[in-house]
Amino acid sequence: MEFVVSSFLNGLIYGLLLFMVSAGLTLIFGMMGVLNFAHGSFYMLGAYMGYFLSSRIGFIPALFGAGIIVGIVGMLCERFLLQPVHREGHAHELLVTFGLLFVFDEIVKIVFGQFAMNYAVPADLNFEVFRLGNFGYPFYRLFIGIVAAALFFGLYVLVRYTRAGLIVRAAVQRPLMVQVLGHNVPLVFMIVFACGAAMAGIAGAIAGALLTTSPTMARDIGTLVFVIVVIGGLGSVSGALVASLLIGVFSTFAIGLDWTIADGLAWFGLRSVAQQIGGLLVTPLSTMAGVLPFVLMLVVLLVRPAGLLGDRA
Amino acid sequence: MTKTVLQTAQLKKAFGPIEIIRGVDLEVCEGERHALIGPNGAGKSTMFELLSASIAPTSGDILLFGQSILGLSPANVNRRGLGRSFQITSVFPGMTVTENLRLGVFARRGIRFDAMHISSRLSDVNEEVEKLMTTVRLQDRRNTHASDLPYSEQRALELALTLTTDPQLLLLDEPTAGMSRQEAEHTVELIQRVTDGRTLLIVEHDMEVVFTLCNRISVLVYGQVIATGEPQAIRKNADVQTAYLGIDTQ
Amino acid sequence: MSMAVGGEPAVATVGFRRRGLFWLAGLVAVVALVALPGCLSPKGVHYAIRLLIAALYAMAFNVLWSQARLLSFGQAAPFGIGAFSVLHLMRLFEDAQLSFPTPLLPVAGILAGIVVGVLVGLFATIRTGTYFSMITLAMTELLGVLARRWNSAFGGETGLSSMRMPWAGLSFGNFYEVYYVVLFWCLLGLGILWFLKLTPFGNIAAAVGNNERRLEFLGFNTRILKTQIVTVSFAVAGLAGGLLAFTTENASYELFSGYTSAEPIIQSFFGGVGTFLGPALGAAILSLFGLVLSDVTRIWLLYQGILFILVIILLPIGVGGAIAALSSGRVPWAKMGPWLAAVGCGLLLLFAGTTLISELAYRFFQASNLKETLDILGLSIAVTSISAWIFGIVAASIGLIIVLKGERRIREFWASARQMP
Repeated sequence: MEFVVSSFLNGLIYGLLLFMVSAGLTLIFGMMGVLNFAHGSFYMLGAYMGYFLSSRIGFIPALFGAGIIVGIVGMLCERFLLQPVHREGHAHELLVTFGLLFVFDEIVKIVFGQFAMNYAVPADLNFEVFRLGNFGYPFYRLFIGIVAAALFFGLYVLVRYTRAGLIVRAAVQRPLMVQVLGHNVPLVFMIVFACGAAMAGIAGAIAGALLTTSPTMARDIGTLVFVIVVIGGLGSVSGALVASLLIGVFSTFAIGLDWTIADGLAWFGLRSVAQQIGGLLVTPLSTMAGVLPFVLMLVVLLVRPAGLLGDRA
Repeated sequence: MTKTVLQTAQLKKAFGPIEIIRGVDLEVCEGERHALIGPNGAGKSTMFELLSASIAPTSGDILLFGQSILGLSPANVNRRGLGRSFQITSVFPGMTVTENLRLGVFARRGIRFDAMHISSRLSDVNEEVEKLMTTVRLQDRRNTHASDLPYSEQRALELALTLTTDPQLLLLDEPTAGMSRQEAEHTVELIQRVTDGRTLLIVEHDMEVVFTLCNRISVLVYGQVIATGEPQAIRKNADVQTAYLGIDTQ
Repeated sequence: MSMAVGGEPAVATVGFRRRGLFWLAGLVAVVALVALPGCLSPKGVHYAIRLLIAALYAMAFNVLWSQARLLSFGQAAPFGIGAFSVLHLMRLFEDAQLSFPTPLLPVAGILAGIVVGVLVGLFATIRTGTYFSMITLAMTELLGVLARRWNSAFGGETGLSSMRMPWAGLSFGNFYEVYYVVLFWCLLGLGILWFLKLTPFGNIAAAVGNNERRLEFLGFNTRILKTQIVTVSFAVAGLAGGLLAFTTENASYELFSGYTSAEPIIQSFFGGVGTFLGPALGAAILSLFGLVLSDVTRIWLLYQGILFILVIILLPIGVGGAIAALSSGRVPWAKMGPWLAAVGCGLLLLFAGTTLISELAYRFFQASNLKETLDILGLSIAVTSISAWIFGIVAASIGLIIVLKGERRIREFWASARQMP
């Protein structure tokens, strides 16, 4: 029972964390039609910035600082690296972000080395908030959830109820038209890109303290976030939320379970046969957890490519 | 009794809650030059999409040479003898005129997966391409990329491409759109020449073109055919005048 | 060298004389490739083999992009399966009584590629655009996970290995003989791809990315067409993978990584997807860059990344495309010359400054003590040398400013170059 509750909670929070990163990515895709391969890098940069700043200016200010710095980096990338290749088409934009992935990886390795950083949860946030059977549930995890929820709420309000949000929504759908109407669409693109990057940066700064902070962060979360964005629907923020939560919960449960296909086949009395065949049939769910998102993505792509909540077929 | 080439039976098409085509019974007979006219938003483009099997109707049937085309792909419908041109020029921009037309000739001759011969050496294909180019008077442009052609020549290429598959029924979507009077006249003359012996269904806004070219007109208003008949009769039809020309004859 | 810019081979527009020059250049290149091993050390020959394989692999990707505008993120699938197929074939004859003609081993890669191509093609072509790309990505990821667990087929964590058996008096134990086998197959693959472009199938395939809808309205089943194009691409990629297994005598699940899928994409665009040999050129340059530079500095990936980004932005038509444009004889040298020279100098400054700073930084941050020095070009620079840092920053900044000022002009120039026949 504890397992179910704690897995569910952890999964939810993991999902919210994934959402913080994927919201920016799906928004950027909706706006530019390009999957930003370097989005995971923003997450990673945020973690490193958080680590670097927290010992100097305090943990919470460091979170803000990380977000701001990564946001600025994102804005510069968009303005100087992506805008020149807009006219060449999506493939070129994609490739620039791919190059950025390598560059950021190496920069981080140069400055911080290739081993994990000693970035830990600050003492004053590291307490138990309630008990689950024998274990105390750490407040920090809830903190992650709170920050993510706050970000989502803020984003929602901003996009739905402000004039700026209206312009962004319009620019995402019909950039040319919005430009003709006199709005500075390149500026809008830059700002949206910067916000997406900033969110990923904050997510990294928070998560890096709990999970590991290392140069492989970008790739680890990068592909997962792509999958989420596709499943949720390219361009749909609410879709990204649903998909993030789904995958967060699924993955967390899967990691804790050792079910195998052979176990399932036991219902038909075929367990020993399956065990003899071996291979995939006896691989526990926990090891396959990393693959589940991809299987789900394949199913979505073949059955309903617009994703769960997307509207482009 | 002339053969019916194309017939629709209570054809309906709705996009979500909005019904665009509301029950159209259209009939095009062999050898006819049939025009489909109507005010903007009447559904003429949608009709073409339905007739060429780009989209599926919500209800009703479409019969091409007596056989239903429901559920068939556009490629399939084309192979049954329907050729379609596009309102927005749809040729192969990165390729030369010769290469463009060659593709159509391949299609007609069933050359699809030939990976054994060199295209430029296929003499009978080249002959057909030559003939087509001469028909639309593009032979001096044979090595020009389609995207470099002036507008009216692009439209001529568009028409030629539609002809390559030797369709018995030609669907032409606003062939003179955006042309000057002189260019339009040339195009009309071209259409008259190439549709000799074929059946033509044409969407047009230019009334002069319609009256010069066609011997039968159907008027589509708000997704329904409100009148169909010979040009002179349509001209005098009060309903048409009200709906289309906005003249209040009551 | 005359390569048609713009994608589709407008063979008719290439003049007779230019065509003659083209064939001559090709002949010279082939002769050079045949004579190459004589001038290289064994290590050099090994590098050359890797370059050839990378070039073929990149050409395989470009079949999909330049023809059907399909961005495949899953080239690692046929590549890896091709490699494993050849390896299994090698293992089959390792100690058998019969011998299999060793130079024919890579055929297994081609066949495997075809099978994978048909399967993946039929599924993936259900969707278009980004969705097609994501399907190929997902399928390859799953394949990678499968390979890691399936010990009998893929050797699990450690992979499989085998040996090339002697045949017809040749031992195939050294890289020189391997080189000629690889060269043969690469030239054959290249030749077939070239020939295909001239056939009706090639013409029709080239039109798929051009205007798919129109093709449908002409009566072609474009989904089958796209599946066939995928099959051709995968067959060549499978051949490349097979050649790699043939050369290295092993294969493991790591062949299915995302990087293996990304390499041909990066290399193709770097070299220029609008020209026939662009991808091969890009593969050769980037592979050589990687192989040589990784011996010289630990942070070579940074330089490759920066080089790559700069080329994509400044040379959107790729290195090959740029060469074709510059040699087309229609360059307004008086107008563009100064700009090209200026940006070239700016790039040099940018590179010099960036390299200096990066190498210094790497040593500064990662050294155990700050007495480290950077030994370059005969100089020994202390990492704490302020003047070195300032020099690097200034050089890079000046270079960056020059490049920023000239980049729009340069890009417009390439855009206009595209119109040149």
